Amino acid sequence: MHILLVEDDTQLCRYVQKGLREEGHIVDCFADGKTGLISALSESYDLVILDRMLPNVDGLNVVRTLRAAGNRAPILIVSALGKVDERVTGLRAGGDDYLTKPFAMSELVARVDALGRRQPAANIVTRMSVADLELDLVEHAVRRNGVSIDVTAKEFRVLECLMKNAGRVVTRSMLLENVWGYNFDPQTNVIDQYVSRIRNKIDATHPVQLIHTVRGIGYSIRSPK
Amino acid sequence: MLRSFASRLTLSYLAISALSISTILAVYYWVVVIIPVQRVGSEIQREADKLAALHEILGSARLSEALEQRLREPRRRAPFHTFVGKGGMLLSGNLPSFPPQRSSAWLRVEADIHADGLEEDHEALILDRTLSDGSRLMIGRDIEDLDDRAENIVITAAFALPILLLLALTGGTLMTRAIGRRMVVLSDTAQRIASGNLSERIPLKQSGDDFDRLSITLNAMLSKTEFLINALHNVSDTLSHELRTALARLISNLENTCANADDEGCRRNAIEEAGRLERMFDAVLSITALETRPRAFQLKAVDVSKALGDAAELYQPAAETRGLEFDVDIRPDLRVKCEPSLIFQAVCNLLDNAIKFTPRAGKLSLAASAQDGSVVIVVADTGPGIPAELLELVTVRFFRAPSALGVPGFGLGLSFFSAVSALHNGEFRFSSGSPGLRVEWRIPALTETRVYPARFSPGPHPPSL
Repeated sequence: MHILLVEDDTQLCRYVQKGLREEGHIVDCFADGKTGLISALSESYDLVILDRMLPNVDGLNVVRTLRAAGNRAPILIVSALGKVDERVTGLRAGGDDYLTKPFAMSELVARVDALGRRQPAANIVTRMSVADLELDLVEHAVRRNGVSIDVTAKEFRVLECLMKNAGRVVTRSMLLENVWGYNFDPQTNVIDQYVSRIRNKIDATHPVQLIHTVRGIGYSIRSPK
Repeated sequence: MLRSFASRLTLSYLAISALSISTILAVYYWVVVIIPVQRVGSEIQREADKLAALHEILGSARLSEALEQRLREPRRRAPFHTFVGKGGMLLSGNLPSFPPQRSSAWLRVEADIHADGLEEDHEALILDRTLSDGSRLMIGRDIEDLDDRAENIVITAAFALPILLLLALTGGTLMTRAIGRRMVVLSDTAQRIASGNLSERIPLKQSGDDFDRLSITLNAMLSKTEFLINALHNVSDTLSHELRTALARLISNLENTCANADDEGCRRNAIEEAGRLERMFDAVLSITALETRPRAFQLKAVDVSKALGDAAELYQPAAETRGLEFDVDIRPDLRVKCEPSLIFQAVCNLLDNAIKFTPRAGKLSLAASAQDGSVVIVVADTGPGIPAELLELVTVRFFRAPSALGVPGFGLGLSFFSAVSALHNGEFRFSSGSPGLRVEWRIPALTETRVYPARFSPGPHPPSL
């Protein structure tokens, strides 16, 4: 992807550029909101990563300006300002995701990937599948190899989130935000254990494992090559 | 409002007014009735003494003469007398009536006179005296004017006091209401400010009176406080920003350094450590934000049974993995004014602790129901619990009980829970579960019934909350 990064901290700029380039993305870096905005409007980017606190201009104003100008590129807001209400403010201004500093590169990469896959939805998806696992979004049913599997509402949402990002890594915090709608960080591995239970339901009786834990980063669902 | 203070004030005003008027009337009565009557009495006494002495020396006939003479003397107060001989025979007198036997020294006799077709009212003050030979002398003077005066004063009191009391009641009520209004404005504003809106000020009536002066002083105090708090927030924000940026740099350096060193373990450990530091820092900041910026959180009316159910479901697998029996009893329809994500997090912290500290084959439970206008959430476990003397300290930042040695955690989970509770006007109690720890959390519930003020009647559409 062609990514625009607007960040005044040069060290962070280098860090993010390096990390994303390793994933095969092209990253243009600008240190202030004005030039970043001009660039975003004149060129076509697949994704914009924007720091909330920029010299001379509030990052949220950049977001609002972009949206007002009709720019539909996904925007990931990065900020040193903390949790709950800041995230809501950022998303309401037109951002698509919000990440607080400091973050692990793996987290950033996972979210960039997730945002990158978003295309304007032409059709409404009613069914998702990976290998022989099928999710029916209308009936809220899960089937593997034709056999129905009993899951709770939340477990269904976890599977849905994983399958929307099939083949990519979904981090713990992404799951928390999308499935529970809560923005918090459990200090223990309770998420791991929760996902383990889901994995038991889905993978236990089948020879092929679909749900994988990517150690230290998150989870992903994918069919083996 | 200031119910008891206002009524006390009004009653005091009433009592003082009543006392004042009563005192005035009493003193007046004393001065213009009682004392003159006493004076007349003294005069009658002197007369009686003189006449008794005369009778002693000169006999009954001479006394009768003297009494008749007395009747003809022009005096302001009309004279009266009755002279009864020792046999009971009336010897002389002009009293229309008198008691047959002597009963008391002093008495009053009505002595109205009909002259020239007109009736003259007279009230005689009479001294009833037995003379040395057994005859009886009743002698006195008219005190009709004093009697009238007394009557007038009583009538005045009878009318004036009720009117006065009414006026005092009205005046008192108006006064206390006026004060009350100013006090209510003051206390309402103070309450709003206390609940987080530091930029509000007490409105002035611009009359320059005591209340206004007080308000001006309080407003100045509030401005100072607001300034200081803002300065504190700015410092805190800047600090937070700096620390986060520094941590971000640290992590990026570590990732680069350890990557160069090509040592996966080194990388992992260093980054995990930094991550741990970040999480702790986040937790402390969240707690501080809850405590100092309550207005940043918009509380909405929400049924928390869903959030509680989510928390229970999230921790179910973890409990199972540890071989713990997890009882969940969450009643439906638990509506409170809250930020549901905070309730979720707080309860997750409680469950997290319960699971972390309860050894295998133990029990933990989560129960939630509505009781007496509150939503009551109870989390209990069969772990080692907290010693009684430390129960008060569990919500202090970074507090860890001795039994927590070796168990991961910063000691911030309950501090966060405490801050969330305070934000929601909740109350909690930690107690010994015998064994284990029990937490009871009460949050004021939103009731379903809507109370209509007396002026309005329900419209065609019932209002929905």
